[in-house]
Amino acid sequence: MQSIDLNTKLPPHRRRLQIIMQTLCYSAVALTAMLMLVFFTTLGYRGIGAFSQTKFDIEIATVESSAKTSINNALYNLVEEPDRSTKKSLRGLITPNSFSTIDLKDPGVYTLVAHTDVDMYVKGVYNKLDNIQQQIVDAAIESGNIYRTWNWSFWTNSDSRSPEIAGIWGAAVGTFYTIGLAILLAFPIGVGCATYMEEFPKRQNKVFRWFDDFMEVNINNLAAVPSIVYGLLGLALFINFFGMPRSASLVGGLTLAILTLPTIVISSRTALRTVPQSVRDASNGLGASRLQTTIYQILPAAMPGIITGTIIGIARAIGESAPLLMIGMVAFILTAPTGITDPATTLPVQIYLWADSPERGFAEKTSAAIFVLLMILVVLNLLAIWLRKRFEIKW
Amino acid sequence: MFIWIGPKQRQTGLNEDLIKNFFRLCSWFTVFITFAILASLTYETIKFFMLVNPADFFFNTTWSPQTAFRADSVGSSGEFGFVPLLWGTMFITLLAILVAGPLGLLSAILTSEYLKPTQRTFVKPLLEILAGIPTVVYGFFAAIVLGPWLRDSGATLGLDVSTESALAAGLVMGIMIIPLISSITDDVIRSVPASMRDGARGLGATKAETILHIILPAALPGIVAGFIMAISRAIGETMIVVMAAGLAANMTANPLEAVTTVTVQIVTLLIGDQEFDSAKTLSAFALAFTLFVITFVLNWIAYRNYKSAINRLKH
Amino acid sequence: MVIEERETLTLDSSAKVNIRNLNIWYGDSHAIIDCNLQIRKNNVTALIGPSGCGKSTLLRSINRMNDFIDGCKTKGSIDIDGTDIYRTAHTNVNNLRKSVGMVFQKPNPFPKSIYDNIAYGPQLHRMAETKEQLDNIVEESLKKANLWKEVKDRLHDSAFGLSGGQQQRLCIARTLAVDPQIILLDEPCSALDPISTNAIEELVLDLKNNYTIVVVTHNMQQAKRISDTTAYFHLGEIIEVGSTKKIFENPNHRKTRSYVSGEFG
Repeated sequence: MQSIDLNTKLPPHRRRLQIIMQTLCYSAVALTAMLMLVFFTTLGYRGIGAFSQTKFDIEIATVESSAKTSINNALYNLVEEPDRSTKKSLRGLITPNSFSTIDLKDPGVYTLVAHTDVDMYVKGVYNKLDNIQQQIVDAAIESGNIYRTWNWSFWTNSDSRSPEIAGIWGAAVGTFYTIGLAILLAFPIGVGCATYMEEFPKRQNKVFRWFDDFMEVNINNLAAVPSIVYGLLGLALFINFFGMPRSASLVGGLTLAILTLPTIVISSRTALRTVPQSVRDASNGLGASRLQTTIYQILPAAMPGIITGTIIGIARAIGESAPLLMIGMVAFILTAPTGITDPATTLPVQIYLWADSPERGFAEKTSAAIFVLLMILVVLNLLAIWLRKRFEIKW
Repeated sequence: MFIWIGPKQRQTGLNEDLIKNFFRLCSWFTVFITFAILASLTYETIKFFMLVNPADFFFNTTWSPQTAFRADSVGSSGEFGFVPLLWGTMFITLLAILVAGPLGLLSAILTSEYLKPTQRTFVKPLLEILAGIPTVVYGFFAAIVLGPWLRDSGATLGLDVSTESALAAGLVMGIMIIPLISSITDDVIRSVPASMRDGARGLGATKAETILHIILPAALPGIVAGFIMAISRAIGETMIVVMAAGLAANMTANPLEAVTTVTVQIVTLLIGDQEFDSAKTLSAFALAFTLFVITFVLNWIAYRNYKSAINRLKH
Repeated sequence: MVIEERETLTLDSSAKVNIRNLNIWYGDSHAIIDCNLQIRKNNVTALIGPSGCGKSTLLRSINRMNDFIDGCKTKGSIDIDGTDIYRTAHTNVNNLRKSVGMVFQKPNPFPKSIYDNIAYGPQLHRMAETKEQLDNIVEESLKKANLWKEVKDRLHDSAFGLSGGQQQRLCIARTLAVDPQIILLDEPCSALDPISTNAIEELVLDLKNNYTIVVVTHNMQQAKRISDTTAYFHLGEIIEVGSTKKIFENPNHRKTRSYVSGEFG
């Protein structure tokens, strides 16, 4: 009998296959990881500028009755005997919004927000300043009258035509109302539907049986319907049929509720299934009815999983923009909404609007807003993971 | 606090039937949603087909929606040929699959076959991150970063690349779809029973050979189902194409040119001022209806095949 | 002089449960065939026999837990204190299960605190009006289950923190809390170590004075140790019923003899 040959190596083509397969697979993941890296760093350096704002300290020598005149005079003082075109250039150094936001009392030095062109020049993005403006600005940078500070208005202001003072607050409040309403509706209905599908006994009647089977298929299909279709449903049903106000977070919330519902149902069903049969046996054995067992033992035991799934659902809903475009939440919102019937927008829609804007100053704001959105999602996902680890019942 | 729920016997506590009916209502609501979607889409689509011949819609190759300018003109003067839109959608989807297919598949093979459990717990979520990124962010990346970059790089190579090239939108959509393909493929590969692997290895096959000759063929139905689901997702995707793809219908096979898709048109038609019953606005619903039907059919096929594939593997 | 125990297999007034002509099918499979059995009051009755012979099925029919299984058909009658529990579909099964408690093979405490595990049943059946009453019920049940001393300082800790044997005693306490008259135990010690097994067996002997107990067991020595009456099952039929002493020392039936002597099992 021949002994087993343990020494001959694999023939080259077999060895090659091993190597090729392994290389391909690792490269695929590496390539994907690299793409993600490019993605995030691009966002990073494009958006970092938005977190600072260029300010201009000017000396207001005389306080006139109108803020606009006072400020303009102060600007004219920067140049000796300015002519008309010079005055125009000087007026373009600060944000138009200053006129309404400044609180003029006594003569002195006031800090104003610089115009977006100045802001972009200082940040090195582009230079659209004319000669006079550039002279003044360079001199002011030297003397410390033009400088960059932390951009609070990004966080506290709503949208604006002037990118230098535009902020995400309005969109944040809108997101809060919209998503809040969506979850308030989708959570109970979703958990209710999941409980029905998992815990209620199979019905004997053929007609009802068919209905229940259909519901199974239906839920899985709804989860895969393109989100824009939900937007059209919202448009046709809530705005046209019920006549609700366009652009309101009420409609947005209702639409997103319907959109998120299948996801919550599916994840809740999974959570309910992890509760082992022994718990049901014990509860039934004590004389509880099926419903009592479900309410008192199964649902509480499955709740950590259900909540984790809901948080993931919230995270997805927050990022949705297509359906909201359909129901009109794209209006230019200058102030944060105060209720669910006020016109509103959400953060992802705000991002879309800013990305679409021809004003170059919005470019950095868009990236920064994306960064904020992604951070919110990261926090939500980490919360879900933490909740699962902390409260998950290990059977 | 123990709130008593049970059969109606006593004064205090909640009636069991009340709760049961609440649960039933919740589940009926989900059926109602489907019904509402179908009803609203069908209703508007029928109104559209009363203004525009369905044959024209489904078979014409010109898409330039106009609305009648004079209140008394009958019908519309616009062309509502759906074919170029379908073409654009499928073209971009194809580009997306060309990216996501290999990357998703190979990544899945890595996570299911080559990685140790501890490594898997790190790499799998990494891929899942891609699924969690909002599509508006992908759209931004495609429109503001990738589009111009492709155009400029193309220019240096002497190629005429549109800023809104199909390639830009397709590439980014591909990245978005990778996790869909990789997670389904991973599931299916792991469902291949150990007995098959043991059989192959027991005969002296290498890991790569086992994967290529035994596991992938066995997993193929499930993998195909995953691809179909990814295609369906790409077809229905809106934000990436709205931001990065073009607005003009264009039936080209050149990925460097701009094309438009069904979803882009739906958005364009409905944003801004509308006369609600014009052919132009109604065409958006007809498009949406067609989209819904296509994705519904694809999802149904994919889901059924996925379930049966997993079942067959497990037994 | 030793007075020999008389075998009374006729209708005895001390029969708590009277099973008559019971037949149970799972789909097409005939699981219990023409079963006739009396369970005597304040006795421990053991059901023994090889695996898969229907012992658990019979046990579960006494508290109608089989109702939860799709495709399970039951014919015949089970009288408890003279009333047939299968008489109509409208029998209050929830009350039935309150009075006929069940302990399962693998301990299955709820994912709640020890206190909440015991309190659940009484709350369900509204057995306590005030918190003090509920506390009393919990304490009494744990004492009856010989678990009170071990857990009285950690009533609000998770039940999962208890050992296997303690968990099983918890499950028994949980059953006792709803004040049953009959306790069904389905191989209660098969998942436990010998010391915990011993604790449970002693508990059963304690309890039989106040409750009627039916135990399904694989372990013949256990049956010998704790039961008064033993029924031997084979392939869904009761082959022989009698006092434990008789069944093990001098069974009538050949099949019984070969099982208890260990020839097969």
